[in-house]
Amino acid sequence: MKRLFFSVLLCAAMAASASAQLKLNLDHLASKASESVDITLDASTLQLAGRFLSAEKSDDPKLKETVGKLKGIQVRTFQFSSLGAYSQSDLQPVREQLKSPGWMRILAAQEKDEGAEIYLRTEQGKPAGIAILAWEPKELAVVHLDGPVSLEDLAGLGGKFGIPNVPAAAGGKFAKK
Amino acid sequence: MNLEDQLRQALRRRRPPAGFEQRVLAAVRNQASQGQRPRESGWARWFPPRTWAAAMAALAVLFLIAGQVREHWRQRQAGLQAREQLIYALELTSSKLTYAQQKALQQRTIALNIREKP
Repeated sequence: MKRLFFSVLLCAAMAASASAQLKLNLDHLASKASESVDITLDASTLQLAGRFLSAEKSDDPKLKETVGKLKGIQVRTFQFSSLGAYSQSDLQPVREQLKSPGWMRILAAQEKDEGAEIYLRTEQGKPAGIAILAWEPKELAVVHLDGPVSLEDLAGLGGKFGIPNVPAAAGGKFAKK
Repeated sequence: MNLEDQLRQALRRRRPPAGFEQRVLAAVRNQASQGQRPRESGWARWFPPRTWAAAMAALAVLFLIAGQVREHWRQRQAGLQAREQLIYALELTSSKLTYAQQKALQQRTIALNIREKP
């Protein structure tokens, strides 16, 4: 009985950790793109990077604090030289994952062939991850920050290292949809 | 001549030949010096085992330090690269957040304009 209980507990824990990680299966777009960025930083790499953040005098303690909260970062961006190189169906597998429990869409804005969506993952009412989908006619970007970071944390980084300011995020004016 | 006389004749006191004492002492001195330090080749004379062992130990320490420095340098390079990637990722994240915010504001403005029109 105990074994069964622990097995169920282990499966639940594995399922919970698996749901935290998004699978960004967008590699097929890289061959079509004129420029692409693929950044995946796991917890150990972030920890290593965090050590070097503190080594630099110009680094803000806020940045180090935010990075310390992160468990992983995934960034995929693609720039295309022609129109129609990608479609919304390419984002569908990612959107399906963002429909899973815990994820919540907090912003969706679309105008013609441009748009953006922001998703927030919560665990016991606290932020546990952020995902951003943004697209333009010739550009597509998917960002996933895994960890208890809030939009306020990201807004606090504005102005550092050329990171633009995000006034609306700082004010918490994102509309929940 | 009986046996007793023969023995007395053979064992009678005789004076040693001239220079016997000097020859014996010289031989003893020679043997003693050879026993203290074995004959060494030219290489061993210039590089005795102790010097050789010390040199090898110093070389091992040098290799160890070089390895440590190299590992530290490799970790530093990896860390700086991770830092660059992290900052770039955060820049992209922030720019996409700004973009999303602008899109949302644009839509809101458009919606308000439509509502205000008679």
